[in-house]
Amino acid sequence: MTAWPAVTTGPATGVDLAVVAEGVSRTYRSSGGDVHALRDVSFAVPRGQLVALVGRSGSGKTTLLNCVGGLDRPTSGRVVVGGQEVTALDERGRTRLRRDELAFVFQTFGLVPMLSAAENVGLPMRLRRVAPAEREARVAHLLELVGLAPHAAQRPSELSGGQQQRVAIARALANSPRLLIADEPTGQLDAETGATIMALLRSVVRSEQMTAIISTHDASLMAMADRTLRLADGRLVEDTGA
Amino acid sequence: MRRQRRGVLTWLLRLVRHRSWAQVRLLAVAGLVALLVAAEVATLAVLAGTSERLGVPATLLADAGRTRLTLTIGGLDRPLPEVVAHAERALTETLGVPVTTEVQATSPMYDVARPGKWLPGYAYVDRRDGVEDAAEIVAGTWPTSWAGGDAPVPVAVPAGGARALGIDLGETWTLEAQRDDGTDVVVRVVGLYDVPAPDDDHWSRDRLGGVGYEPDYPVPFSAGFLTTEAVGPFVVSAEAADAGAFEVRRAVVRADPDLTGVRAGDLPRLRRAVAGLAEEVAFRLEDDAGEVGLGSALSRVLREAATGVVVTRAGVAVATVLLLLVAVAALLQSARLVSEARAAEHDLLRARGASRGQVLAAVTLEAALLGVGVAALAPPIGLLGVRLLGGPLADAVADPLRDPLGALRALPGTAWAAGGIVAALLVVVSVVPLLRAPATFVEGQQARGRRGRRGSLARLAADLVAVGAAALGWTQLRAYGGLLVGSGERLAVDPVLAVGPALLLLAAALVGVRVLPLAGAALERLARRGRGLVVPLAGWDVGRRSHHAGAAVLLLTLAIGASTFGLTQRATWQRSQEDQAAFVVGPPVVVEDAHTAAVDARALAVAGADPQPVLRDDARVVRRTADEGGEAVSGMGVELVAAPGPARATLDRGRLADEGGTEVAALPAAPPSGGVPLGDDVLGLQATVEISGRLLHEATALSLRAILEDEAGALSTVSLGQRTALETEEQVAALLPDVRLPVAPESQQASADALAEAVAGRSALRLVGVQAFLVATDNALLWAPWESYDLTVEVRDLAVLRPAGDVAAVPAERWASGLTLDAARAGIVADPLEIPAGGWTPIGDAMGGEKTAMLGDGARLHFIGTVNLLPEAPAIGALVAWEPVEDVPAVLTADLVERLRDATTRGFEIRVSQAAVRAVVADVVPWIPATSGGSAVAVDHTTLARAVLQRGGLGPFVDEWWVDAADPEAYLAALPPDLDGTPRAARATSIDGAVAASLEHPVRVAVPLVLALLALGGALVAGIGFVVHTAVTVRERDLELAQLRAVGLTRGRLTAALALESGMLAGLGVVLGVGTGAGVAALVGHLLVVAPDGGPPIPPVELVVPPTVGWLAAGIVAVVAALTLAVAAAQRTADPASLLRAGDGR
Repeated sequence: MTAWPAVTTGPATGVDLAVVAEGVSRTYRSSGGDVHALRDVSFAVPRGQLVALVGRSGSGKTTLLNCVGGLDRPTSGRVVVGGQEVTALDERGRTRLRRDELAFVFQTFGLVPMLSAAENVGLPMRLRRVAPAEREARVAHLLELVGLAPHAAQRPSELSGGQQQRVAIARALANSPRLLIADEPTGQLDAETGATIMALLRSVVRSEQMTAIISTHDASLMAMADRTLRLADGRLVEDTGA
Repeated sequence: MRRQRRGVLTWLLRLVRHRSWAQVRLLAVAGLVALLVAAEVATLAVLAGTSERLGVPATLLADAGRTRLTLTIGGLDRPLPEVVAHAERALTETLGVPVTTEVQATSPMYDVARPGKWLPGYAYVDRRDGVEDAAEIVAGTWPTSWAGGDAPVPVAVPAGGARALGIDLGETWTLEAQRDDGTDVVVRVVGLYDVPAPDDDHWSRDRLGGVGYEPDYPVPFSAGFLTTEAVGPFVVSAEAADAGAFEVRRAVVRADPDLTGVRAGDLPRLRRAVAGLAEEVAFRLEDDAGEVGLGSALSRVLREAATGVVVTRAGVAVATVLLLLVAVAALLQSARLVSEARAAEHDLLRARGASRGQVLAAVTLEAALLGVGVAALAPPIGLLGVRLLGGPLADAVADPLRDPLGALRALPGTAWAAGGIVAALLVVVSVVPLLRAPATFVEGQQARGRRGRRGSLARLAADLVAVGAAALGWTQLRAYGGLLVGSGERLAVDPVLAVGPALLLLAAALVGVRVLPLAGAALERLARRGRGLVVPLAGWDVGRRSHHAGAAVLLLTLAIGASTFGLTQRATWQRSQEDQAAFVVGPPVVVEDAHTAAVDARALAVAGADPQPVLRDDARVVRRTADEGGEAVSGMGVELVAAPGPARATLDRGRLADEGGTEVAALPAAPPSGGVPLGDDVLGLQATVEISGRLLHEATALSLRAILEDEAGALSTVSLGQRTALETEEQVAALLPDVRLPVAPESQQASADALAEAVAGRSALRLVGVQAFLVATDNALLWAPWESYDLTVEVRDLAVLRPAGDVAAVPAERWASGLTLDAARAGIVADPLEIPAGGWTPIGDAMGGEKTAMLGDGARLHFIGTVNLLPEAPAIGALVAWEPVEDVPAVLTADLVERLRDATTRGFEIRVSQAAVRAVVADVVPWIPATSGGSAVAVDHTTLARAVLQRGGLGPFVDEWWVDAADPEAYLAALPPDLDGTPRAARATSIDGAVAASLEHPVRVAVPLVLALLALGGALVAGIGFVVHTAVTVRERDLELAQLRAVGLTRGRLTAALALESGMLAGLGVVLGVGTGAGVAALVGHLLVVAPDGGPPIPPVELVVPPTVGWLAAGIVAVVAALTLAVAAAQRTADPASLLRAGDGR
């Protein structure tokens, strides 16, 4: 595993930054006029930090995460992840970034319904053409990690919501990403299950020494984060714990 | 309440309008798929309707001679006009269509004095309506009126006959009644006429076949061994005939029914009328005449037309059912597209309080509106489709672009029905999924959980039902031997049997699709051991979403299967038509030429061809039994093919070889004969004949014939006349049978140039035998005691008559008679023949001892024995220059062998050309080419001819010529006209021509078009249906694909995975489709091809899988691949971020 180079953006701080956003804006055009999803958002996340991204629905959380993860391109501003300027990468570069450097966990779990839990977890490793034996061993380890080893052969429709999200987390960890992006990972779960999932996330982020940005609008979950970024109407209105 | 209903209706209409507009592209796809299949079915309907509309009149009006009714009335008890009027009324009223008639009334034979001859000549008098068009007056005029009473009856006489009997214009002749109670007729010759085309149907019932003069007319009760001159008809006017100018022996009313307005629907009634016509007319003329006979091929023509219609309907029915099956599959596919896209909307409607019935009503209304559009547009598009297909049917339908109203008016009702059926199917497939939908959300959840097992069981049950139904359909098809049931007037397409091929295709496709999970599992196993994601993704999708993949493969299999079936069946049908035509025709070209005797063979040897003489005629075969000393005891009609070796070799090719041609070709050829060369400019023969010894009775005559052989090996005989006087020498001479001296009417002479031209191009001849008969000339000999006789016939001074070349003009007097010629006056030289003594064999039971031999200048035949000289069994003797034929080796059809029972061991007899020859079975085959496929016998031409001549037969042995032309078209173009000036090509049939006539006949032309349309329709549906499937599945999975993109799947790999998945399904669909289509064609294709009469074709149908099937498969794969890539490319451009942001609620 290659070590990330120290990244500094703006004034040198001496802190190893995993994510840097500078003046990020995203405007969508629609028939009703321009929608400003993000307006001049800037922040920096040091390596190993678990960041909670909070705000009301429509505040721009998903857009910001998509811009950070290279799924979307800001209208202006730039994003640097692990030293690579995401906004300067082409489609191929952004795909490589998503495959090798970061991982997504979606509110809707994002599991392929026709695949078993183990197969879903193995997907990212297939993208990196990992040898089958190594892949199977890691899948087994990850399912063990998220507590779903007995459910490896089950398909998503045969698992509960919490179990599906555990599978999604295991899949996210498959390629040992440096950055974990989770978009409302507990949005479809009850409070108790959501708390469990957040605990799991926090645990694996710590154990895998990853950086994580997790969007949520559940205030109780914010307590688990190292830092909280609050968005309102596309603007970063609060940055606590920085 | 009413207001509430109106409100609901308004809401429904508004809802339909809004959601239709919102998803207009989706509905357009569904509508276009429905319109495509509806238009195809409508095209089939227009094709079938047009084929019937054109085909029935084309069949009925193709040959007026075949639809003509010939009413023969004998023993008239009332005046001719009265009888004719009754006959006309009977025909018109019974048939129900107008008829136009011509009357031919003929007298008995009269005697005409021939000074110096012991037999009088014969003549007869006719009324012949329309004779002015069938003959040409060369001197005088046609007779117009008769004064009546004792006044001579004005007549027109055939010019050739007048020359022969010395009848001149303006002379008065007495025709003497042959019966004691008859009345002589005094005629005055007012005109002389020639018949340019004796083959014309007008002369078909004439006693002399229109030739006007016959030098060898058989004397009654002499079995043809005694002949005299006959002239006729002496044509009188209709008025004279009606006024009783002569005794009417027989009247022939030739009636042409007006069939121009007959349509397919009229055929059953007309066939019933024709079936009972003879009885009805006989009943109505009961008081008018003693004998009434009706002859016509109209019944056969009507049967051909009706059968053609039924056969076309059978083809259309099969194609339509198959297309409808494909249509249902395609409609289900597009309905699924709409239904799945609407699922969320329907949930929303239900959530907002709409009842299930209201949702159902909205869907029904929307589908119905779409269906109305489809039903309205499909028939005109079908019309346009027929126009685009081209050919005779396209020319017969109105152009909807130029004359829309006219085109719509001319559309058959079946086209509208076709559009309506597909529209109804569209509504049904749109509504049925909603009917099956769970009533509540909870039920839906429960149903979803049970879907796997229940779905599998339901699918298994459906498969079993389909396989069972297909097995039943196939069994029934085999049992019935095809789609047609009944016979005669009741021949019809069985609708249940017409479904058979579709059932088979469906069952085969359902079973075939079962391999899909296996293929998916194989891919998964591959994926488990692999590192990448592209192949596993495709494998997982195919194997685990088998209901989606299965639907796509099923549609592809059905559509490509139907397409393959269409192509295969079309090629099989066409090959069968070719095989049937080749089987009936035989060699590449057949020239029917009854007037072309052996000596004229060179006229047909054009374009490098070597025409071969063939006798193809009806004959009788008789079984020989040991109990009766080898005498024949029973007989049966068969078709006889007697062809020389080179002609038979033309049957040893292709299918003909497999169907008996090889065995027929392998028949041993006759060894070459000896004889005396005569040259190629022979006009006739001359000889001196002397009879000495003791004759049995004064009323015994001796008939002499020379046997000639041409370069092609064809044998013919030349009459050297009949002798009765003993101990006298008489010079005899005779022209060859087909020699027509070109006599100028005005001078009654022929020039030397014309004579030279008459023999130009003739085949070289050889004298290969002399034949003699002792014949009774008096019926009293029937009861005469058996007595012995001892008679020697010497034929001396044999000479060949040739044009002298230096005589400017030849008097024509009595030339054509075949009687004694004054060679010097005729400008003909007689070259004496030198005849070798060796190489001749005496033949015949009556030939006695050593006295029978060839002399240096002729032959001597010594008759000795004790026989009963019955007219039917003359004493026969011959000297021939070939090895005598004992038994004729013959190839027989299996059914004939069965009927002859012990023929293979005991032999049998063939009766042909007035002789019975012994034959042995050389081989047995199912069929004999160049026959109609019934009981038949094939023999070597020369062997049969020799055997017949040995047994006293006279021939002729040629009624057609077989030509092994490499380029039949060029050969037919090079054929010169015959002696009458008629183009020989008109009497020639080539296999190519017969095939073209069969394929292009308006009744049949629709069949290959329908099958081509099925192939095209299947291919289109396959392509469009699969793209719809791909679009649907990609759309369903776009969130999943976006998530895969989010975890790092590149666009290229995504496209590759989708392409691989689609390619696998398309490949599987193509393989299964081609396999099932060809398999169904192999199982039932031969049952769907029938002969023109509705029966099984001969030779049997062979399956032909054309190369176009490969092209079809490759084309579909290419199109599907291109369209799939396009769909995948569209997916590539989709923004995963927006999809993820929209989530499941999009």
